[in-house]
Amino acid sequence: MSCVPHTNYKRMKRTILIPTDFSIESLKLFIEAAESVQIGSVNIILLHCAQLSDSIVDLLFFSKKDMIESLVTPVFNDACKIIRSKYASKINSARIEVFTGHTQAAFQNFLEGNRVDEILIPKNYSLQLNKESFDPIPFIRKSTIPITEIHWKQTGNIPEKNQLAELFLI
Amino acid sequence: MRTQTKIALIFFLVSLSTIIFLSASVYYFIIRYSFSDFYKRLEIRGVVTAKAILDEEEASSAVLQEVRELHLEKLPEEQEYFFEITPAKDFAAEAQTLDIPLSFFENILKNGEATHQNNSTFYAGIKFQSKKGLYAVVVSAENYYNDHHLRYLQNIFLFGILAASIFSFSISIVFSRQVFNPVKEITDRVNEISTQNLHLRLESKKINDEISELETTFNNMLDRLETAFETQNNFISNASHELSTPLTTIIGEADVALAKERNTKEYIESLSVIVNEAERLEKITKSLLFLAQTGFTGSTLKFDKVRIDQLLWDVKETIDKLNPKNKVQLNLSLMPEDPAKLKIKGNEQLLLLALTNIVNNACKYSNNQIVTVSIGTLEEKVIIVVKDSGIGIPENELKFIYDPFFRASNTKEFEGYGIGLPLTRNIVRLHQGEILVSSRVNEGTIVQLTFPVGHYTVG
Repeated sequence: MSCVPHTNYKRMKRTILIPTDFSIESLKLFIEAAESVQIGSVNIILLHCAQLSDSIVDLLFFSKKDMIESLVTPVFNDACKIIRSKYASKINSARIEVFTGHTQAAFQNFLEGNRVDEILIPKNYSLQLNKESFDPIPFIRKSTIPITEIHWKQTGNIPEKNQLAELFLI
Repeated sequence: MRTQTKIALIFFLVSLSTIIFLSASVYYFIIRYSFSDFYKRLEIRGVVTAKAILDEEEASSAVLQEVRELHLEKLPEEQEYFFEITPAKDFAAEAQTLDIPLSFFENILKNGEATHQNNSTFYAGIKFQSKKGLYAVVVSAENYYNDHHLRYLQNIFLFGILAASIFSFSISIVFSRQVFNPVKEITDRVNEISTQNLHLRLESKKINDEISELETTFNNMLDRLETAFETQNNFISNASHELSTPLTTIIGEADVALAKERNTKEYIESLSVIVNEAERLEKITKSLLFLAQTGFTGSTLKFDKVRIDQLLWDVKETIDKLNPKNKVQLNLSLMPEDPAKLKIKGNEQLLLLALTNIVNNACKYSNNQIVTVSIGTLEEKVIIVVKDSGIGIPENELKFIYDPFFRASNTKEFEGYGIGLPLTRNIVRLHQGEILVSSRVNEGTIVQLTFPVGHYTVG
């Protein structure tokens, strides 16, 4: 299988993948992704990686939509909407995708399937994982898609942690 | 009619109608069964008798006769009739003598059998082919069942229904009492509670049923009522205290000045104190008046389109005039591209007052540290976030911040009357907005205001 990375930065509609842990702070990547657009607009994919349950019953009733709904908080949702209205002309679409694979090949396939052109990852921020999710950064680093690392000053334990107000500080 | 009586009556009627329906259907099916059974018996008798009498073979005839005597009980009023069937025969005469309709005989000829009931006498007829020729055999007897057993059954059912209805009536009364007992208890208990003893609560049982839910709801309502009552009481005491403090100062100062003749400098000093206090008094009464006005439905208020970013610049300007040392920063990094989303429907004067209040508080309680004011919009909402790094509000006092004249325990060294925030909340409510205050002591306070977008077109 040959992989040709899409390095055409000038393409009118690029697709940028960013990992997310559904915290307000991780939306810094979302803002950076929108900020990076010079021409045209961008499709943004917020990636969440989750391990599927081993139970057959759980798998039978598994639905990505329900899973995303259970993870997205109203505040996170509002924060995304604020960013989207700020960059209304630059963000063509934004959606949340769940990756449930185990292998690098599966991840590569996932990236190609979603036509990802670029990936933004945090430099010093580590994603807050819950008990089902796992960190996609190792997979991302090994993939053939260009990666940009974003550095920002971490907010730490501030009073507005995970409130809408936090969004205005990052 | 009381609900308790209603429920008892419904319960009683339902059980009674079930019993009646069951008895009636049992009675009906028993009657049907006993009739058809009796006709079968008559037919068998007819066949046996016909064989015994009409067939002339001595041996078999005797045997049959014996069987008949031994095993077939003689039915009351049992009669057998034999009529030879010849092609030309009509049974008019026979029908006449037996007092049965002619159709009975016609049925025998046509179907080979027929039944007829004449009061309590039952007739069964069959067509019988004997060696002598074709015969119509008619057997009649009185139905003992019909006369005695069914009457007995009727009596059983009548008395049964009567007994069951008395039983279900008493059960339904007990049942409805049982059901409404807790409700009655609640009514009695709530009746005991008046303004004098608002602290009383209903005893909530641990079981999670509808009644305990009702109790919890009542208790919650009482909690709110008690808080409202206390707020009202506090308001009056606070207001009179706030108003009397400057008055006392004015009277005291004037008294001291009038006690003896003083020089001009001392008079000026006294008068300036009096003016200061009088101004404070005026400020309090003015803001009280405003609070009262905004507390109304606001039908007289004029609502027009207001651009939130413009409003915030105006707020900053006002603050700059009031407090030149302020460090208010407007954060427009997440302003939407579409200016239409920034327009809300509102009264500019009131909004300016509300926002100035909040931003001024932020400056005041953080000793003029940096205060950031940010704007963001969702599809339907405009969000304004005011953040300071001031003294904060203790967590257990957050719920009182909208009470008029309430001041948090850590605000002793700051001047204020505790009218600003309730006033702001009234204004925000007038605009169908929301106000959300979160705070940590000594770390800062975040006020988040949300207003619905006005849906004005650009231009």
